Amino acid sequence: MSRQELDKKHERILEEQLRLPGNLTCADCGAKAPRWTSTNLGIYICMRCSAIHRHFGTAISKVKSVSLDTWSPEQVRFMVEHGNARVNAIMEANLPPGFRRPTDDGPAPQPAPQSSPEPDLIQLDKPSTRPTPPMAAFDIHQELRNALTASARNSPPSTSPPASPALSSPASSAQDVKGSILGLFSQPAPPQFGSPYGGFGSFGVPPMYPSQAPSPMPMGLPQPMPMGYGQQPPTQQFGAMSMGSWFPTSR
Amino acid sequence: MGLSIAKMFQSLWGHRQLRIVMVGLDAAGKTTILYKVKSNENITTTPTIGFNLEEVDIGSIRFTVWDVGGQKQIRQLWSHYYENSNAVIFVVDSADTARLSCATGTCNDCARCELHTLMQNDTLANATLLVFANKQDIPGALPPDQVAERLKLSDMGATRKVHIQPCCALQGQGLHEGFNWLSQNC
Repeated sequence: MSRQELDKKHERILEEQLRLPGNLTCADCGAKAPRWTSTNLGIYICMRCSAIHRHFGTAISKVKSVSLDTWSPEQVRFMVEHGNARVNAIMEANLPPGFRRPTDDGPAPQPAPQSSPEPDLIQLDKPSTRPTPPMAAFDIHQELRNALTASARNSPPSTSPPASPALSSPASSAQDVKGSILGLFSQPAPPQFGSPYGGFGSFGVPPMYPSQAPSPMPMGLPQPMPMGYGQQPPTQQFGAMSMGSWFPTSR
Repeated sequence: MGLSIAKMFQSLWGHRQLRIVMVGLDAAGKTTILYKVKSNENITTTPTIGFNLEEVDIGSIRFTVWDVGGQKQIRQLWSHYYENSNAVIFVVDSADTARLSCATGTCNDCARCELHTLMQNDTLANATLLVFANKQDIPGALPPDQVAERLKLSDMGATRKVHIQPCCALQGQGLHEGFNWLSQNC
């Protein structure tokens, strides 16, 4: 059998396979009439999902076209023995509840968003253009914290851990706190930078966090995001990705 | 008169033009390379059916890059893009070792067979050859010297200028080095 005859025979077999119920739609997104395959996974996929599979590399998925590529008899046999229904029954047996399957009518999947809706979160290492809050806004927090630590220092020694002296010490009664707040107006404490109370009232202090801009959003909390194709883990928004990451961002 | 003045200005300050045809097996990374050097973007490319054409300015050289699809049936069309090409960029997936070369050398479906077939084309007799050994970031990717050995680049003939450039299209490493080599050797 010549090469052309063999190719025609293979294409005929694959076209028959594409008419089976499980193979009428893309194994990943459900698009109709898939024309591409993953020859090592044994599934039929649409062109857009083939792009994702190609991105994985040939160690994970070997993409071939039903009509634009030539096939070996072993590859065709593998496709006949597998197919979308059988492979997905195994591969997707433990899909988490609420898994959002990519759809064929959504935007084209991309490895990483080219433009971020929150530029300040991405460009943490660059000077922010966001206007700094007025000085009084954080001076009050700073002064209050200084006063609280000063009152704890003046209070008698207690058994409480030093990490939260003013708030958890039994000796620091409400009277002490009140007195310390009143003391704000008589003994202004010098501003303290580099306080161990990292998150509270310390935003916007340049010597302490030179690289972080004041942001209305909590810095450390990743935004809830349903995961699916073309979406990167939220933590990757916070800096450059490593070489071995799932979808490297552009640099 | 005006034309000659325009030509003189173009030769002094204009771009030198190079026509490049970029070929290689499917999923080697041709389109990814093209758009990385063109606009420094990482795109998840769908298989190229047909071709992409972009003009890329690197230094004082304007590269006109034809990126042609690499599926087996489309490879028959490669020869239609060869004419007037100054150079060929052949992109290989260094991690896809199974398709780098075949045992017989006559399979016509591996990178080595395709490369040697295309370089025997008379239209490309004077064309420079740049091989991008792409996907160097993937564990298990062959280093460029082994890729060159598998592709038998030493059999390309004594007169042809050949260079193999390791690269990673997603990171952009090695791409500008390759194009700079082209600009100096075309």
